[in-house]
Amino acid sequence: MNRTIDVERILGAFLAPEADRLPDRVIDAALTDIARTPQRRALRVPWRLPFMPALSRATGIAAVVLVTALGAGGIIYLNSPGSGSGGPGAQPTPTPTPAPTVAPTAAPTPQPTFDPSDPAAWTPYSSAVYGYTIAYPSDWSLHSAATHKWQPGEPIVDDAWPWADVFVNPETVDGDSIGLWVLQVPAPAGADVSSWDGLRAALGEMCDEPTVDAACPGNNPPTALCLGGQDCQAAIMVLTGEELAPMAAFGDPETGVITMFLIGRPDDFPAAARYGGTVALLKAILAQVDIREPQPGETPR
Amino acid sequence: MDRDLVEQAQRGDREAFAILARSRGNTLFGIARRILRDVDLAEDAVQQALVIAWRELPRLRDPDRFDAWLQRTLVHACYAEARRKRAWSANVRVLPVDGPAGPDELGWLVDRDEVERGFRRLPSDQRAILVLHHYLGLGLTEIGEVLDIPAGTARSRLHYAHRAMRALLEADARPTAVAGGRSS
Repeated sequence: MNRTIDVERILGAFLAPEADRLPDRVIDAALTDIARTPQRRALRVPWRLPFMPALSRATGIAAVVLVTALGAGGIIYLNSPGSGSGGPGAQPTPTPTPAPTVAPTAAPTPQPTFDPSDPAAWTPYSSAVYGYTIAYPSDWSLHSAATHKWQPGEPIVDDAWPWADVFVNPETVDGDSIGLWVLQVPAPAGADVSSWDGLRAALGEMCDEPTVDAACPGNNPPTALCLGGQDCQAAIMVLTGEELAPMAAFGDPETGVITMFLIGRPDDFPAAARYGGTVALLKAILAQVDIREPQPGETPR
Repeated sequence: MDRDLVEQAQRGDREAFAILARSRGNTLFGIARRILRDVDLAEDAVQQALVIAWRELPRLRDPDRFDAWLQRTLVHACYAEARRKRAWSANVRVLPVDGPAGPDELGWLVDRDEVERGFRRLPSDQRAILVLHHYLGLGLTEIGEVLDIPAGTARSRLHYAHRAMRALLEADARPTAVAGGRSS
């Protein structure tokens, strides 16, 4: 038998609109539930440290790095001192993830003085809650450690992040704060975190989640990255929010968990100049967890 | 008009939300019924989606995207229902033959039951994208907006869903040819 299957035509007929009518009782039941269901407040992640004064863009730094999610018991080991050498520059990235355009610094800025290739430039940190080990610049300090894992819908109370490890830069006392947020969330159900597109889509599903919506990629194109020296586990970097702050993320396909890094200030934020900007700072931090730019033609495995 | 209603609902106006819910109910039901292939599950999914939508509505950033956002909420509710009841019941209301596409649009190619069987074997995310495309008539950009994926990803997912459906239909057709008839 030799049948030609015109599947689009078949599905067009099979799924064609008809007189669907939702019984009133369904709407009524929903409205009954709604009558006793409070709405969640439209909280936005205050990706600012609570003690940071109202900074003007010209004077303040707040680089925020959010690291989300490791698989259960997963640990990121750092200390690959050479991996962040010089701060990764703009490299070609594979489709479909063109490198985000970061506005160049308009005003003359100091040359970067932070050397990410120097092992002494980094302090390792292991999270008691999440189990990962990361590294932060050695002149930074721990602002607050996570006390419990992130839960969907958990509100931000009093500008505190008990579900995150938060680090701050030394300039914090002067008001030029850089914060590093580290936390863990599960990937949305059905998310495919093994691919760049899937990872971006997974982040997109979190856009309305109040505690991590600052990591929302919006419509900004992500840059493809790889976790791992030989194999490539999907990771991405994208500019988020109105300020176009860089954020990066990777997923663990086995555990369905996503790891994100978010810097809450734009690349040209003045106080980030000694890192070469917040993008370079984030990339240096990523390099410490073995996240790199992919080789030409390299795709996640 | 709807934007005003959405904004009122975002501020906690249940009456405004009720108007929105009633005006979208049939479409939501149509989507859910086609994805889930089960009337009861579809009703549950719609009810659940409306409650979730109400709860989360203040977080919707752009009221003009309400419909896409609501449909995304529904699709996720459908996924949840599908997970909750993986063993599909026999409660399938077969679509009428005299649909808009013509009285014998399916029959001359494949049996409707074969399409039903094939469609139900697809994973729920593939069923969802096929429903958004063939039932709602959404283009790739609109599908991407609903599923929150780039249009290019929507294109590839739709392609794979079509390919999977075709493979299932072809697989169903093979034993038919050998047996000289179809099994029900």
